[in-house]
Amino acid sequence: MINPAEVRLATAAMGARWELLVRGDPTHARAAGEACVEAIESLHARWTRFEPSSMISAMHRAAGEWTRVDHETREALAIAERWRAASDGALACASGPTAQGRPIEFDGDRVRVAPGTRIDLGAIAKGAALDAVTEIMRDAEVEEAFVHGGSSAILALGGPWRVAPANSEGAPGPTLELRDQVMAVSCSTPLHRSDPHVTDRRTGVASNARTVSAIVSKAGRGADADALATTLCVLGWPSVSLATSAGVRALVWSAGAWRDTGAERGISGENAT
Amino acid sequence: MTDRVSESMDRRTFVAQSAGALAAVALAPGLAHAALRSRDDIRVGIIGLGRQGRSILAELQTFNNVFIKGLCDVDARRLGSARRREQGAAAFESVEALLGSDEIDAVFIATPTHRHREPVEQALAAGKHVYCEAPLAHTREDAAAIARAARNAAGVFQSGYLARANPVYDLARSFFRSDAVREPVSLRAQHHRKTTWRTPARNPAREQALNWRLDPDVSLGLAGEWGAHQFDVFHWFLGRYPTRVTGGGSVRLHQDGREVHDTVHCTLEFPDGVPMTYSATLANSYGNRYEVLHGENAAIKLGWSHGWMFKEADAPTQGWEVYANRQQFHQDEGITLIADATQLASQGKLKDGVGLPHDAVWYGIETFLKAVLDGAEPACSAEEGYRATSVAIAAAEAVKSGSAVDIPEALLRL
Repeated sequence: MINPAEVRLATAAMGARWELLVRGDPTHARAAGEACVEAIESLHARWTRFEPSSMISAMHRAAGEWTRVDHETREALAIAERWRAASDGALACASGPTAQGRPIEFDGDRVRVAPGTRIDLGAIAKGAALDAVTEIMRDAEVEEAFVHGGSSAILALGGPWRVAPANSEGAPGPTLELRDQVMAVSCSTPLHRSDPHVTDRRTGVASNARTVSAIVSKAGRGADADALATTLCVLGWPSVSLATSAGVRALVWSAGAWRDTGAERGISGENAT
Repeated sequence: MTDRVSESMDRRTFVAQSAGALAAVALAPGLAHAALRSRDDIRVGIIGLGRQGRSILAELQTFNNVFIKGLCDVDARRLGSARRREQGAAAFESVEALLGSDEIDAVFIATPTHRHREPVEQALAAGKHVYCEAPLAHTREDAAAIARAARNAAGVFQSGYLARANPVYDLARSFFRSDAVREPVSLRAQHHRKTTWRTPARNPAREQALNWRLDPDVSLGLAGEWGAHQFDVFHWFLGRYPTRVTGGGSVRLHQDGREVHDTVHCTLEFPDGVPMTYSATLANSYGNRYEVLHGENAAIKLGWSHGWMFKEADAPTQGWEVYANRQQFHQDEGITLIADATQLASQGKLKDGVGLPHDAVWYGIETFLKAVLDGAEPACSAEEGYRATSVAIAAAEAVKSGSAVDIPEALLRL
């Protein structure tokens, strides 16, 4: 049964179905939810590779030249570059002839992509969208909301909201209680697909291991969580120090078992950041 | 216009001299790009940072020759949010303070429609070039005051009716005015979106400030706010304005106490009897936004970033059609309208031209910048903006009253 003080909205963006559940005065909650939907759709329009009017397409057209992009795109590219460096190149939002060098250069508010480089913000886009949603919800003083994009990028405001990341067979893993947190999930071979879709950018080799990684972080750090989840999916548990040094909780499922930095460090889901 | 060009040239000369003075410094390695200014650079401010103001900000950030120096909004949260997105800009809580800055050459006015007049008049009086969002105003009196202020000002003024800046629409217009379409027999447009049209606001003061579209005292409703842009497509294509408008509306979905209709329809009658039917709703999104012009030889459908021509079987064939890109729509085949199609076809890249490479707002900005920097004609002048706004106000009145509203020619003259 739907709580009358809950408003539900949905949209399709970034190759995923997004659902938003917002609690509070219905008129206000719907307006806040719609502002979030608009922001998600706006980021999709800027970052899709399949529309000529996107920022990504504009950067591809301007390959080799310094060009300016909007604030959100610059921020997303900077986050992607930071995780490329931190993962020693395993995660990269750019591919092409120079992808192992510096496919994207920054100079103040300008960026330059190497000729032949193809940018794909898929590893952080949904997390970045959750950060935009967080800003809007907080500005609108919404205290209780649950938002997910394709069930792999989750924002839980207020709460606790109970979630359980699934392993690569679809079976639910440990139940986590999220409060003012984001959770990003990455899976090397998604359920209902036989082909791996996470690639080590250094080698170009797709991971055949059936690995699932989940990162739990503070709300507002969705882009970082999303990038880190993909990185751990590529590199597996041995790279978990990237998560612990970032101060976030990481769960990795591989070889039939879950491993959890929160559990190992005695951090409960409720206060893990 | 001569004065405007002259003023623009004067400013450009000044800027070029400034750039010359900076040149020696600018050659030093590592100097921030922002320090470089050339004759093509322009410093701008944005007044009003709601949805449209933020959209303008994002597009301005992509221009290599634009430096955003000032941001202004009376709402502190919006101002702070925009400032975080453009840290090189100063934040101003008042229009007067922003216009007092001698670091700003041009301003974009994106305040609520009923709050355009004062900042436009102030900005023009301060010698700034002005881009004003459309519709220009919520009353004929304000729209006329804006147009007169623009006519008497030295700076460039552009009305934000974006179809006139859109390359796909420009191409379609050239077909429309040629034999390819022939005489129009009917015109139709719609804008359908499922949304409350409400901005989240917690307290009554913010509610009133942010949700002006739902305030019956100042809002032009769907016909005036959305329809205004689409009606102007037909004004521009036909070179004529309607003489009468009928309409109606109701609240079909959003029963939240609003008086402003969430679903409207209206019919604009043009001098030669061709009707333009329009519908807009906040209750259903099917079909989204488009305009259709039916002629004897073909129909043209325009969907903002895309356009298509649907030919009648008995229409004469034209040579270029052999190379045209086509898309199937159920039982109809549309020829995709592609700007620079001949050049792209010669390079074998015709499909690359499907869809505009920029957002619609970008073209509005680009044409305005060309008017300021190169002395080009603005895509939509103050007079054209006034006439389009007058039609929009008449449509809003017709929808609100449910009765016919005449648009005498004298009403469209300043």
